[in-house]
Amino acid sequence: MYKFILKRLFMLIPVLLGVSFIVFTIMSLTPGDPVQLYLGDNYSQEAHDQISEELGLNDPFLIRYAKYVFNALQGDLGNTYSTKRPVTTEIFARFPATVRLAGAALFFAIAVGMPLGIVSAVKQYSLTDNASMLVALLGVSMPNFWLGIMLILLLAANLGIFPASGDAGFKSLVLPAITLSANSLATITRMTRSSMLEIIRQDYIRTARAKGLRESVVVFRHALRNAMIPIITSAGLQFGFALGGAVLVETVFSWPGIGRLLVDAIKLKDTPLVLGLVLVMAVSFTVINLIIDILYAFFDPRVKAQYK
Amino acid sequence: MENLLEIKNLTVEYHTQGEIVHAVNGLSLNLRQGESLGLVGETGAGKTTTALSILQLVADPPGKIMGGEIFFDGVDLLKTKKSLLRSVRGNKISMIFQDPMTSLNPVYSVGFQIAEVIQLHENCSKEEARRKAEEMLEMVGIPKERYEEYPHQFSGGMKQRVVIAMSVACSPQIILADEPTTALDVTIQAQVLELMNDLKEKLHTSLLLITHDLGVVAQVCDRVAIMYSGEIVEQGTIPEVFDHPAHPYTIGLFGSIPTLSMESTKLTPIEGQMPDPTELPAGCNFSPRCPYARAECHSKKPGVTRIPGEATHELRCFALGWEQPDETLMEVIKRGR
Repeated sequence: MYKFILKRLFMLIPVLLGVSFIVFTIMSLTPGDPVQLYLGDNYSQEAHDQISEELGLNDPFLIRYAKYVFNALQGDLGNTYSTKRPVTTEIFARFPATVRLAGAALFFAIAVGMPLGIVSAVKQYSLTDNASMLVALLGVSMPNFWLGIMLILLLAANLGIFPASGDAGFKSLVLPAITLSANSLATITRMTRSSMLEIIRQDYIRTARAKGLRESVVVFRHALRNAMIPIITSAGLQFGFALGGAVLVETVFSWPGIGRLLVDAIKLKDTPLVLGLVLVMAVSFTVINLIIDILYAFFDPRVKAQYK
Repeated sequence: MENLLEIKNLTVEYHTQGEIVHAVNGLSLNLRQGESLGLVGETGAGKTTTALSILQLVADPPGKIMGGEIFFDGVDLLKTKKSLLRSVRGNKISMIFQDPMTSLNPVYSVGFQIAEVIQLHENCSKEEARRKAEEMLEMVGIPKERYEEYPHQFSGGMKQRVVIAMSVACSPQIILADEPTTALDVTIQAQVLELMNDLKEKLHTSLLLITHDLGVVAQVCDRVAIMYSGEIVEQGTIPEVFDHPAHPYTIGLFGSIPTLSMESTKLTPIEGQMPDPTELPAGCNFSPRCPYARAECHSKKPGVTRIPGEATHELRCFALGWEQPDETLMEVIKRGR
C-alpha cells in the first residue's frame, strides 16, 4: 500500500513537467507584452529593455523554461507581473478560501445527495424517488450563476438571512457552497441511486436478507459499501474540479478564491501566476485522485489486493 | 411424524410489463422433522420461487405471493409480523443459494459473514460469535486461520462450504438448499453433498433440496416431489417414485437419463417445451407434451390422487382414474424402471 502511494506520488513529476511545459508554451505563443503590464502605462524604451532583460524575456524559449523549472524546483515560482509579490504568497493567500468553499460544497452534496440516492433506490418508483430525481434534474440543468443570483435575491437581498458576498465567516460560506454543490449534488444523487439499484439486486443482498438482518442493516452494511466505488469516484472528481476554482460562483459571490485569480491572471498575461495556479491545480487534482484510489482499497478488499 | 413445514396452495406470480408469469400455481407441500425432501423439476418449473417464498425473499417487484399459507411451527409465515419472520430467517430456516460465486458479500471477510448471523440470532458477544464462526469453518473443512480472508480468495467449492457453514451456524430446523451443487464441478459436488449429509445427521435438520439432478436426490433424500410448471405432479418416497414413476412427466424424466445397465445409443427426451408461464394451458399443464393425453386432459385440471396400494405416493394426473386405462401407460407404470 505505501509502495503504491509512493509510486503514485512519483508520477506527479512527469505530470507537473508536462503541465508546466504546455502552459508555458501556450503563454509564450499568445500575443501580448508582459513588460507593458509590469511597467504600467508610462515607460521609456530603456526601461522596457531593462525589465525585459531582468525578467529574462529575451532568452530563447527553452532556456526560459529550463530556468523556470530550475527555480521552481527550489520552491521559487517567481514574482507576479501585476503585484510583483511572490507567486506562492499570492496563491496561498487565496487557496484556503477555495478549499473551504469546495469542501463545504462537497460536504453538502454528499450529506444530501447520498441519502436521497439511497432512498430513491430502496423505494424505486415511489414518490420520494420521483421527487429526488426531479431535484437531481434541476441540479444538473440549472446554470450555476443563475442559481447563485436567485439565492442572493431570495435569501440575502429579500430575507437577509445570509450575506450576499465576500468571505466573512461561516454564514457567508452557505450560499456559495450551496450554489457550487448543486451540480455535484445532482450527480451524486443519481450515481448513488443507480449504483445502489444495481447492488440491491445482487445475490449477496438476498443472502443478507436470508440471514434475518434488518432491512436497514442490509442496505447500509451490505449494499452501501459495495455501491461506494462509483459514488466516491464522481464525488472526488467534482471536488477536484471545485478545487481548481469555481470562476462563476466566485464571481457571483465575490469569493476570494483561486478561480477568479486565474482568470484575472490570464487576462493580464501574468505568466508566473498562471503557471503557479495551474501547477497547484494539477497537484490537487492528482492528490485527490490518489485519495480516491486509496478509498477504493478501503471499501473493497479486491481492489486492495491489487495495490500490493 | 409431524409436519414441520406445511405449504398450502401457494401461488406466486411475477408481474412484468403487462404480462403475468405464473411461477407457482397452488402448490402444496409438507416437510417433516428430520426429513430430506427433494424438489425436482426442470429450469423454470418454479422450484427456486417456492423456496424463496418460504422466507419471503421473492424479489418484489416483480414477484408477488398471491395466495396460500406456509405454516411453520403453527405460524403462517405469510401473515406473520416482519420481526418474527426475521427471527426465523437464518435462525430456524436457512437457505443455501445456487451460485456460491455471487452469494457472498465481496467486501466482508467470510468469517465476519458467518459470525454476523450467529451474533444476530444467538444474542452473544462479538468474541463468542467469532469463536463459533471459527468452529463452523472448521466443521465444513476450512482452517479457521482463513477467517479474515475475503470471498475472492476462495474457490467456488470453498465458497459453497462457507455458505453452508453460514446456513447451519444457528442450527436451523430446516435448510432450504437451492441447487447447492449445480455451480460446482463433479468432484466438489460429491464433497459438498457428503458434507450436507453429515451435517444433516449431526444436527437432525430437515432439508428441502432443490435440484434437477435425480441422482443427487437418490443419494441424499428420503422423499421426492416432482415439479412441473409451478405444480407438484408427483410425490412419494424415493423407492415409490424411483421404482414406479407414475406421472407421464416423471416417466419421461427417467427416460431421458442414461443408465449403465441398458445399452442404448439414444436417450428418449420429452418432446416439446414447458408451457409459456404467461399462458398456461386450460387443462393439465403437461397435456401439450403428454403422449397419453386424452380430451379431458386438455380441458380440465387434474386433482391430486393417492396411488392405490402405496403409502404416500401421490399423483396429479387423470390417467389412473380412467375407466378405459391407457394400456401402454399402465404397462410402463407396472414395469417400473
